[in-house]
Amino acid sequence: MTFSLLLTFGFLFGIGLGFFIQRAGLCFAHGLGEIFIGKPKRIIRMTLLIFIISALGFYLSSFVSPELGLKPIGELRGFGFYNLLSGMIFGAGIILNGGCILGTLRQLGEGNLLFLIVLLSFIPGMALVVFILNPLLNHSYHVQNIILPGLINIDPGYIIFPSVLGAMVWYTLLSLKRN
Amino acid sequence: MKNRTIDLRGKVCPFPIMEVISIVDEMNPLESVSFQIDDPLALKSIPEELSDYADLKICIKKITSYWEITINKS
Amino acid sequence: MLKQLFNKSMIMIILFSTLNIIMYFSIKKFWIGGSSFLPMIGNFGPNNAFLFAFLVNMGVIVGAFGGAMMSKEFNLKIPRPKDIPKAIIGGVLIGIGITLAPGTCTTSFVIGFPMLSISSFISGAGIFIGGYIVYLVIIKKNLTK
Repeated sequence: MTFSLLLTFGFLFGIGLGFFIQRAGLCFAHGLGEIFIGKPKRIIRMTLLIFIISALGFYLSSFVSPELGLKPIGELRGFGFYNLLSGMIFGAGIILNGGCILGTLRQLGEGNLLFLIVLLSFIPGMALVVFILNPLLNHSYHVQNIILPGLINIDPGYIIFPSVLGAMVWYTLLSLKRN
Repeated sequence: MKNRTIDLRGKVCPFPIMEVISIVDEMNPLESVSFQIDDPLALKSIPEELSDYADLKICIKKITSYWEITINKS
Repeated sequence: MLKQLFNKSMIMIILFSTLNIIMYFSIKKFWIGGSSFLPMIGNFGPNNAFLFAFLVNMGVIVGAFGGAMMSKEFNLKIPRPKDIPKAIIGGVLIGIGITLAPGTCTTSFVIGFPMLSISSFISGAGIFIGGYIVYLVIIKKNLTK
């Protein structure tokens, strides 16, 4: 498949993904707000559903093609120190401006031009790390690309199926429970 | 029946949902509060979050460029 | 019972996740957040992977526009001057967060957890902590008592 065809498919898939998150009302900044105010049910249910479908899908894909299956996302940097630190910075940013990545894209699509400013403001933040901090850090930290099954050296299935089952039970209990 | 109107238009998420929940939790019986919202996400999450409250009646009205969510506590 | 289990929002989440899996099976790619914006500073990634992810996210904007128009939720909002500083600071913090450790953002919750990726669990905890600090320092005191 040519790269331009791949880009076209990607753009079309993006339209579908964007349509569904807008109709669902998915945003983790909003979700964190619900958790902090003591109403975590909605965002936990959404995250559980995403986990159930995606974990099964990603795991089963390994039987279709060895190229697929579970993959590390991002990198474990400095035994997790930089992941925790960048998570804290990201978490602070999304609560401050009112949109996670999906929330920013969704609200742009809904006509809220404030989020064009948010999107463009990513640039100085990324540039600061890529052009200034990273050269300074210069990989002075330990880097790992690792998923849980690899860490404890067991077949992913032994983690995926119990955790998906647990997520289904939790989702059902949450859905039927009244606040 | 005291009716308050609270303007949350232009408020950046997640503030609207948090403000609504904190006010609703303080409402007295027979009280009614109207929230003016222009955040489509809050429009979906507020009724969903409050659907568990048996003693609340929620009514949503579309005005020109925003929505008015009226919550009556029985 | 079924209506309690799956309201409209949850059905849309099921469709969102399923479509992402279909993308993975069909073109061997899945949705990512943070790194997809690196093309904005000239980094297209290995085999143009970030450029591809950027195009997907431009599609997400178009799809969200379609959803908003269909449900009459589209509303062109011009930013109020007083909201702009927070938007810029928030955007810069996001820019730092998504590059200081890749995979640290919404991708953690949507892709990282299902992939059982260790870095995503740690990033997710960090996102929660950072968000809570801003909630305590800035938002909580502005809420009506």
